[in-house]
Amino acid sequence: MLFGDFMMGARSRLLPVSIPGRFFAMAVLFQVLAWGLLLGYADDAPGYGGGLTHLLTALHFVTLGVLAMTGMGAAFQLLPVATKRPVRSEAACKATFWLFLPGLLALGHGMGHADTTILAVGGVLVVTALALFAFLIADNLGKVKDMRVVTDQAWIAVGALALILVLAGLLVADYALGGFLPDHQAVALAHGVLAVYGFMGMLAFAFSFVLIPMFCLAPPPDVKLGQRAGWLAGGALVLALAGLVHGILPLLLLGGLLGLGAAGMHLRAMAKVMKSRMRKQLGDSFILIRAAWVLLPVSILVGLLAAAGVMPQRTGPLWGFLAVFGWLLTFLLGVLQRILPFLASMHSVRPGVKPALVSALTADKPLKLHMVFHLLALALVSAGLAGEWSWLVRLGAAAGLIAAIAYAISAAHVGLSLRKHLNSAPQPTEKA
Amino acid sequence: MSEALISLDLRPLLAAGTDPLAGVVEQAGRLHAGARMELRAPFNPLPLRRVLARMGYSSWPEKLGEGDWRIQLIRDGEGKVEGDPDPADCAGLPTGAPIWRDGQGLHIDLRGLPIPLPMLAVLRLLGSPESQDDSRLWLHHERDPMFLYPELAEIGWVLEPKGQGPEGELLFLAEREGD
Repeated sequence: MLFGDFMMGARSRLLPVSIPGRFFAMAVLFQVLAWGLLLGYADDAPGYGGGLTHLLTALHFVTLGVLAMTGMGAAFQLLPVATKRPVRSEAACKATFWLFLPGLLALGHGMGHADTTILAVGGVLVVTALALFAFLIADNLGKVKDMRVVTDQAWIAVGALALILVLAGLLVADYALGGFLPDHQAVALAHGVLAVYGFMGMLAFAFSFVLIPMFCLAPPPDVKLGQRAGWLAGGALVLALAGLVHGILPLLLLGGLLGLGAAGMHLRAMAKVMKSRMRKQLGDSFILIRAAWVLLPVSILVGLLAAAGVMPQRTGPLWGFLAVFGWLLTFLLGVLQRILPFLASMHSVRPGVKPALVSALTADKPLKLHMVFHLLALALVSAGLAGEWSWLVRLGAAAGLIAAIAYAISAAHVGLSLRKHLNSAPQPTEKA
Repeated sequence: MSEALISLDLRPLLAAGTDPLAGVVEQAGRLHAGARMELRAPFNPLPLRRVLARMGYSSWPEKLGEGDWRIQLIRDGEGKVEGDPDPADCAGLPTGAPIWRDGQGLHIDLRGLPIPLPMLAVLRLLGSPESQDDSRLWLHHERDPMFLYPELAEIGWVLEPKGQGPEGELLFLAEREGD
């Protein structure tokens, strides 16, 4: 068998670097935009309860621009490697991006300027892109028989995404057509809970089962615990949604408590992984990952307080911030710190040529700066929202912006170093 | 069988999440030919027994109860690994990847292992005293271990695909840089 034939079969699951790269690059930029918007409109943050404002744009630039964008890039890149099945179509991956990016920009503009026409156009593009993404992932997961934990949780994420898209469509239509929903706020909250704990949360759970043991060189996590966490989270989401949509508080609270249990199980599985790890020095990325693990249950507890009507002006916005920026964004940034240089190194593999070293692709100083300022931003904005002090929110957003810029510098270092390595490497020679 | 020179209970270490491999290998290396050793473990530690077999230890497992195994070893130079274990009994092991040596060098079979056990098994092997003198490691796999290339490069090894065997087996060669 010729070497080239062998490589074609084995490597076909690794997409060209430009496909995941474009998603990651945009995610890095959207993080800068999101913190910038929060800085610019910090006065509106304390007591924020929804509505078409620049804060809603900032929120969606994180959820869609950073989290979903990265989730798509990572899923297109890693899922085929993990499931041993190539993605159905590279063109479809590119189409997802080119529908999603302009859609998100339009959506953000429509939200910030209360322009319902642009909002509707952006909404259609974003929903179409995410539906295409969900189809591609479902197609890849469809024939996988092993990796039950990952696939169970990914299926819940795909199901949650389908429901989110329906609710998002209803919300956009409600704005564009003049308000036909009996309780817009309840549907918006259901959409938010599904997005944070359903789609993105379950994707984070699923990726954790592959990535965390890989990062810290540990045996795979407890499968039963992981499956139970996934199922419990699914049940929690159903109860919380029913409670929100039908206005039944006990159901919502029960959903929150079950969600807390699911988070506890997931964290227990992760704690076991950490305990059995071979790699003891995990670096700054795991400071962020550990912080996110703490903030996951904290966000649910604060959400429960808001749902129970305990100082909702303070606990409501605080819940949103802790869940999106505290849990999901922090976890994702911790993972990205590790995985971007790793993926770049994977893409530098050529026959007969040493791949680019992960350590050479990692920009330590900007990442350290990012970690410190990101954690500072979380603390300051949380305190500002809890105390209804907009100056503190502004200070925190400024710290977040510095962190996001530092992260962008480190990501640019990865891209430039990879390009330099590929340009300097000798051309591969084919051999039998 | 006469009394063991060394008796090691691995259960507390494993319960605390500590890998006992290095400690056991160190103790085993100090014993003279013909010496006996006894291990207690919550499972049948097949890879550990294989490592000790390469140091000349033959071993016999005995299941005393649920989660309680006694492994008796003797340094007879033959390195027999007797007692075919039920794979389920090895579920708690860090890797479970078969390792052997032939004229081509050191081999490890990673087929059937879930992510990230293949990577863990290879890095453990390359970090163990048994492979210190090896500069080539053959990997038998069922997929291109994409995650392994960066990790090996970082510790000075280069991995290259070497072809395809029967039943979808893929063969890779890891070589220490500079050799």
